[in-house]
Amino acid sequence: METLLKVENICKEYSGFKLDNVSFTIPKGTIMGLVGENGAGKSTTINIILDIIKKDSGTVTFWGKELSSDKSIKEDIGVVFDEINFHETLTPEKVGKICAGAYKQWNDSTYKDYLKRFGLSADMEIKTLSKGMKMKLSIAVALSHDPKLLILDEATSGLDPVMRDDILDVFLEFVQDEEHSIIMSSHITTDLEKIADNITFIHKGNVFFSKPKDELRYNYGIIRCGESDFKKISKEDILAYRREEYQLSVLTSDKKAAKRKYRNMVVDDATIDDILLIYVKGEQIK
Amino acid sequence: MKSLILKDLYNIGHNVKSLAFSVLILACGFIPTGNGQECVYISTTIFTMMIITTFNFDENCKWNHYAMVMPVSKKDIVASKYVVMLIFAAAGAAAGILVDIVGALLTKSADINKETMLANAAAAFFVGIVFGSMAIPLVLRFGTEKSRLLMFVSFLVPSALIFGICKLLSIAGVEFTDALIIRLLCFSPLLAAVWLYAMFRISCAVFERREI
Repeated sequence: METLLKVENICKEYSGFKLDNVSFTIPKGTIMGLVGENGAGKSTTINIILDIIKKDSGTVTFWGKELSSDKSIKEDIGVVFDEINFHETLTPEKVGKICAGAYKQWNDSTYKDYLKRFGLSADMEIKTLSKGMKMKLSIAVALSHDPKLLILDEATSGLDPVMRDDILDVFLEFVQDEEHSIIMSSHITTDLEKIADNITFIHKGNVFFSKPKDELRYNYGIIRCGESDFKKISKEDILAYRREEYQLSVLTSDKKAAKRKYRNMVVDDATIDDILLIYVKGEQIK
Repeated sequence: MKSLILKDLYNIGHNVKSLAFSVLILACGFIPTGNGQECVYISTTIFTMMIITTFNFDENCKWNHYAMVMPVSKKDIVASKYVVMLIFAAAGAAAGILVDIVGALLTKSADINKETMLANAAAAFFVGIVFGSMAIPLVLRFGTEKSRLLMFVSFLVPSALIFGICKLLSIAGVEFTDALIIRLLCFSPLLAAVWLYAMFRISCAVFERREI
C-alpha cells in the first residue's frame, strides 16, 4: 500500500519529558489510532507532524515531501483539535468566509452541505452551540477544503455515544476514498476499535507498538491466573502482566496458543483498553 | 492573509457598540469645552489599541495553534495584525473627525476648518500607528495577560523617544517654531512608515522564535 504519511525517528526533549525516536507510517485509505495515557506524547507527536512544534531530530513526510519545505501540503490536511479554535462570537457562516479566504481548495457548497447534515444553523454564534455541535463545526471545516489526510486530536472526547457514532460514520465515509487517510488520537479506545485499521501505542514518549488492529483483536489475549499458575507460564508467552487483588492478568500475543498450552487457566480476549492498562500499570519480564 | 484580517474584523465586530459608546462619552466630554479637535487623538488611540483585544480573543480560543495548520505562515499572521491595526487607526481617526465636525456644528463657535481637521486626523493616525506598532511585538513577546502594562509601555517608549529627541535638539539650539513643527508633521508619514516597518520586522523575529 502506498504511504501517505511517514514519521521517522522523531525526537523532542523538554524538561521531564522526551519523545524518543517515534516512527510509524500511514498507508493511503487507512485509519490509524494513536493511543496512550495522558502525557504519553500523542499531542506532541501530532504537533510535530503538523510542524507546530519544532522537532529536535527525525523526519515527517507527507506524500514524500516535508511540510516545512512545502507549505501547500497544508491544503490537503484537515485538522480537528479537542476544542474549537474560533472565537465564540463567530457564526458558522463567518467561519466559512474566514476559511474560504485561507484555503484555495475551499468548497463552500460542501461546507453548507455539512452544516445542513450536522444540523448547524449558519447564523448561530459558536457560544450557543453544545460541545458536540462545536466539534461537528470543526469537522465540517476540516472536510470542506477537500483534504486527503484528516488529523484528529481527541476530537471525540467529551461527546455522548450518539454524537460520537454520528461523527465516526463521517470518518468512515471519508476513508471510502482510498486516497484518504485518518490519524486519530483518542482516549476512547472503543471508538478506535470500531474504525481504526492500525493502532500505535505511545507510552512515556516511546512507540510501544504500531500494529494492525485485527492482530491485537484476534491474537492478543489475557491469561487470568493465580500466583502459582503464573510461575508455570513461560516467559516468552508474557508481553506484560498486572497484579490485581485476587489474580494476575497476563498479556500474551497468541491467545490461541495460550489456550492450548495453559488449559487450566482462563484466557480472555483483550480489548485495546486492557492492553493499555496492562502495559501502563503492569510490569514486563526483563 | 485575507482570512486572518477577516477573522479579526469579525471578532472585533462585537465590540463596535462599546467603541461607539466610548466615542460618545468622549464627545460629551470634549465638545462642551470646545476641544472637539483633541478628541481625534484619543479616539484614534482607543481604536488602535483594540489590536491588543484581538490578541486576547486569539489566545482565548488558541487561534494561533489552529492558524499554524492552515496554509498561512507566521509572517502572514504578523502582517495581518499590522493591517488590522492600520484599519483600526484609520477608523479611530475617522470617528474623531466625526466628533470634531459634530462639535463644531453644535457649538456653532467656529467655522469648520477642513485643513486643520484633516491635519489633526492625519497626525492622530500616525501617532496611533507608532503606538500600535510598538504594542504588537510586546504582546507577541510577553502575552496578553500583561496587556495593561504593555499598553502603557507602548505609549511610554515612543513618547520618551520623541521627548528625548526634542530635548536633544533644543540643547543643540534648534528652536521649535511653527514652521519647523509643520515641516516635522510633513515628515511624520515617513517616520511612521519607518517605525512601522522596523516594528514589523521585530514582530516577525519574535513570533518566528516563539513555540505555539
